Amino acid sequence: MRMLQLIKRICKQVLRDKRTLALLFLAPIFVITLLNYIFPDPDDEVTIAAVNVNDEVIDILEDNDIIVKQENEMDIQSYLEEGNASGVLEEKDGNWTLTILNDNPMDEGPAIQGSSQAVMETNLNDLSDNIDNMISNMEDMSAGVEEMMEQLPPEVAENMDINMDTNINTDIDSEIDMDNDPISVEYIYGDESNTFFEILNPILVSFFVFFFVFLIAGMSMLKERSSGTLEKLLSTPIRKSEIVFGYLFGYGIFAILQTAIIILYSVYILDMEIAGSISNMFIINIFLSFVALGLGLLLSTFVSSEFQMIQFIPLVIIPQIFFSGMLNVDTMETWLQWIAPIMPLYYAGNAMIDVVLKGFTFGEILAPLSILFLFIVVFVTLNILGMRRYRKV
Amino acid sequence: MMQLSNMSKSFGKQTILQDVSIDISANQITGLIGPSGTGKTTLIKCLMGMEKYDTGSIQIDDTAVPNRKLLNKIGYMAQSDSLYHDLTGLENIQFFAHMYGRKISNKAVQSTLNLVQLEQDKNKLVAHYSGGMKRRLSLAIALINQPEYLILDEPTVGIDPVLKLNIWDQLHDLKKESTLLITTHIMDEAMKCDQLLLMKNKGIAASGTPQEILENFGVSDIDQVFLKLEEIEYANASAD
Ligand SMILES: Nc1ncnc2c1ncn2[C@@H]1O[C@H](COP(=O)(O)OP(=O)(O)OP(=O)(O)O)[C@@H](O)[C@H]1O
Ligand SMILES: [Mg+2]
Repeated sequence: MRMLQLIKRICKQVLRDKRTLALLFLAPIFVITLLNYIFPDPDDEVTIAAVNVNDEVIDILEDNDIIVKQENEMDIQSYLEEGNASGVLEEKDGNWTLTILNDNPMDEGPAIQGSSQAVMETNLNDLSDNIDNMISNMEDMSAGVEEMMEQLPPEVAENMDINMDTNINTDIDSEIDMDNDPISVEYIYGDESNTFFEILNPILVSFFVFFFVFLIAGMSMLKERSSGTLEKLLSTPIRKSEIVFGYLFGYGIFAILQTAIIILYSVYILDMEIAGSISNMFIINIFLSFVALGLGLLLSTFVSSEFQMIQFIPLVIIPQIFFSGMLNVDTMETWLQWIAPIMPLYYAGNAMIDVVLKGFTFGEILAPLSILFLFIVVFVTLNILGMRRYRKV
Repeated sequence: MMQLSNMSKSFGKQTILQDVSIDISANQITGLIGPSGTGKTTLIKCLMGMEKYDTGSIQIDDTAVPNRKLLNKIGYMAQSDSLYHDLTGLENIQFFAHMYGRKISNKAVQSTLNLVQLEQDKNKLVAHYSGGMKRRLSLAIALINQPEYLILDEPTVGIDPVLKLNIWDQLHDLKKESTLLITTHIMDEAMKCDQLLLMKNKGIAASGTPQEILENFGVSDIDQVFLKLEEIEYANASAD
């Protein structure tokens, strides 16, 4: 009853505060959209300038959707600085050189990959031509030997006991099939190479849920403390747990709405591909948003101004990004591997990747969900205990 | 009946209240007066169970403080306005009324608003209230659940003289059902109390009806009592 009134009050306050509403709903959409367009499309074409490069290599480059500009000798650095191409490929005395500025890995990566592949393929072609030559030489040779044998007297030939297999298999398929990639890549999850954004997106969804909910819950609890209304509230017979749960569910409503909007927007407007079910994405993020609520409320206990609340962001929020599945925790320093398990975003981010990219089912994400739930229980308990500062019972 | 016996309270090394024993009798207005920083607010917070006291005991209606259920019987007005600025006056009252868990009729809300003369402005956001209006709204909130005990920490600061008289009349009316404890710095308000508690030096320096106190100290107004107390203290100090 009291809790319901508290929830009603919070809803009223949030709905009246247009800026908070914008921060909750528009800000994450804006940032996610921005990121979607900032990361280049892998199908975008890369331009390479070719100097002294034979037509065969150029053909292969062009087959791989690389735009090739044939150029003469030039000042490579200024040519690249002017943005004419992502790299310059040269051949000198059989040595291949690709020059890049090394300031834009997004375009230069594909340039390096494309040109080394082209050079490798030409070398392979040469090799297979050589093999062809060798085989035809051998055929000539064996024909010569046979001829010779026929001219020898029969008894000599028998004694020599040369078991000449004259049927050298001349059907050897010496033609290496150049239409295929030199390496064929098998994808265990998904069916094409994931762009960075595709890996990042599910993590970002969770990050925004975490960040904005943390901020808004923390700020409003801080306001409640500094305006004296929390103390006033505690002078009424309300239970401390009713306050904490009232806050949790009051802001929880908005957290759930925000989660829904971010997820639906990512999936339906930005076409984020999801291998698993969208409802599992909801569940993970709703759990996470309640963790963020609990943490925000708790940290507001330790600050006395909004500025101090902001200071917690680089301390508490930013480090969590690194552990959220973007980087492989298993290969980090040992002490970092110990830190990862205390971060809620570590569980949520990895669970999101599991659902979105690997199509994990609800049963398979049960473990991270239980840990997130544990976080909620711990934060709620600490919050209730923290209220003792204002009232002893 | 509110009873403090041998209650002490300190913040860290600073002792604020030492061996304070008070009986606050029912259906009377008890005024708690004393210089700024003597611990009036601290005493009130201990009485409500919001602050922990170190030794002694506090009882309200034979129930030991702190006790959450006791808060049902208490209406409290803090020294600083504790209002939701993004809600209207009426919404503030209604919200706190619900916190007492009792059904509070619209009529009761209306008459409380009339008492503090906020009927006109009840639908304004508190952010747009004047200082005195906020004070009046806080008072209305303390009265809303018709509490047995009313604890008001400087209720009339920033309220104009006419309204102040009006409010004091109402407070005397409330005595029929309630016991009131009020702090104030205004001496003619002190004179309107039934009982006075004078706080000085970590404890109660004098108590009784205003008339008794004036007679005991042989002075004509309460301000002079504090001057007298200083003199006595000074005399004692130089005698040592
Ligand atoms: N939370 C606290 N921590 C430390 N010291 C405190 C705390 N609250 C009050 N004090 C100190 O206790 C003393 C009494 O404060 P209190 O607010 O009770 O005074 P008061 O009698 O209500 O004064 P005023 O008439 O100005 O309201 C002051 O010296 C104050 O600094
Ligand atoms: Mg005070």
